[in-house]
Amino acid sequence: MSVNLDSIVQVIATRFKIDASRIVPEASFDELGLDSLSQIELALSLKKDLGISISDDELAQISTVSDIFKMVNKAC
Amino acid sequence: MKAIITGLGGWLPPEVITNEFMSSVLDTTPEWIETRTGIRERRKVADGVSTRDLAVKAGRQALKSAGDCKVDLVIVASTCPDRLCPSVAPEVASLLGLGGVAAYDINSACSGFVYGLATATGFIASGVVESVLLIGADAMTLFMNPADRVTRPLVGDGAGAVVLRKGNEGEPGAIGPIHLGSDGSHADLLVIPSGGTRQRSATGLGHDAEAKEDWYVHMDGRGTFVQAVLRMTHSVQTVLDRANWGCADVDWFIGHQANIRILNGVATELGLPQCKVASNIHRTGNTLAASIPLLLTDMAASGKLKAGHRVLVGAFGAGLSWGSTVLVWPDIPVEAMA
Repeated sequence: MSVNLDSIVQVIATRFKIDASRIVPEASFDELGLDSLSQIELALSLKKDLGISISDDELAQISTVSDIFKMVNKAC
Repeated sequence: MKAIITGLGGWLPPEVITNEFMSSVLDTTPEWIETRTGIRERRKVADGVSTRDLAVKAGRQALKSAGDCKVDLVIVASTCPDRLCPSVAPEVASLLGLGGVAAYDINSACSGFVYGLATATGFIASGVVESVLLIGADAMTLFMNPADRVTRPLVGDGAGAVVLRKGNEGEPGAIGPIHLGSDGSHADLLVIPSGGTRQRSATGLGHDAEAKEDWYVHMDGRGTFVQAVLRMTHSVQTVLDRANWGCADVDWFIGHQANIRILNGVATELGLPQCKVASNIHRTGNTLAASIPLLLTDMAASGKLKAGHRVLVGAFGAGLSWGSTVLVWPDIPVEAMA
């Protein structure tokens, strides 16, 4: 199973109320106005919406939308 | 037989500690604290004031709200006891002029008030007592590491209390289904290491062997956040199911005020609109066992919480421990807090 980028963008857009057009692969958490707690909130949403679990260690490596995409598909 | 809330009151010590002050003594900023927690200020006890004094003030307010009735039992839920021994509740009962009524403490950290509701409900349902004064009181600022930029801004001091009496199912104020839980495998996420038998035994009663920091709160913030959202979500969903309520039936979610983003996370998981998440954390910080009755007091006194509103109550704390219940808010007089 793999998850496409659009699905991840939708999860981020819904959880953090961000316009989906801003959520491009190279966008960093900082650029999207997200902080360290947002990483945890995103992990909870990925679990709830897509059924994908991300470990704490993996979470700590995430800094861009592209990182999330790679991490999610590694976890699938 | 049901336990019915007939009185409510709270008390906050007058000294306000702002985020600006925290930023002047710690490596942080007011914005950093507020965006990550929702807290703008918190209260702090004056020198010489302890948990007992907070509990007496809140207890007096709750008894007044209930018409200055007599009670048969006083329970103080606290994580910050005046002393390791004895319980503070007997002293609180005496200072409230309640004479020789039954009185004791419980400690379930930030879940203490909901555990107290369950305890009071059990006492009343079993016929052992007919009325209970339940107080959540904590002076946690006295346990914070003054050099810890992460934990020190989180907490504030205060106390809140309710009076419960025996009554019937369906009465406004009746405590509905209750769900409680714990997970000791995560006990180290949020802990004060010193003061108990474990460290005394480990150090051969040698207090010199203890680190000064062991007398302060230690917290794994990331782990605590995740557990708080998941455990509280499960617990409140359980009582909603038992009460046969859906999210649409809830007027207010009265959750333990540890971090507004935890509460918003629970609401997201539940599918509960954020506008139903009640909060006063911006002015109180995390007041542990006091937070739920303090929030109820603010909400009722301001008129936002009205008689007939359906209330979902949820708590989570160190232990780990958690608990939830539901009730329909009764028509009782509640005084605003300064």
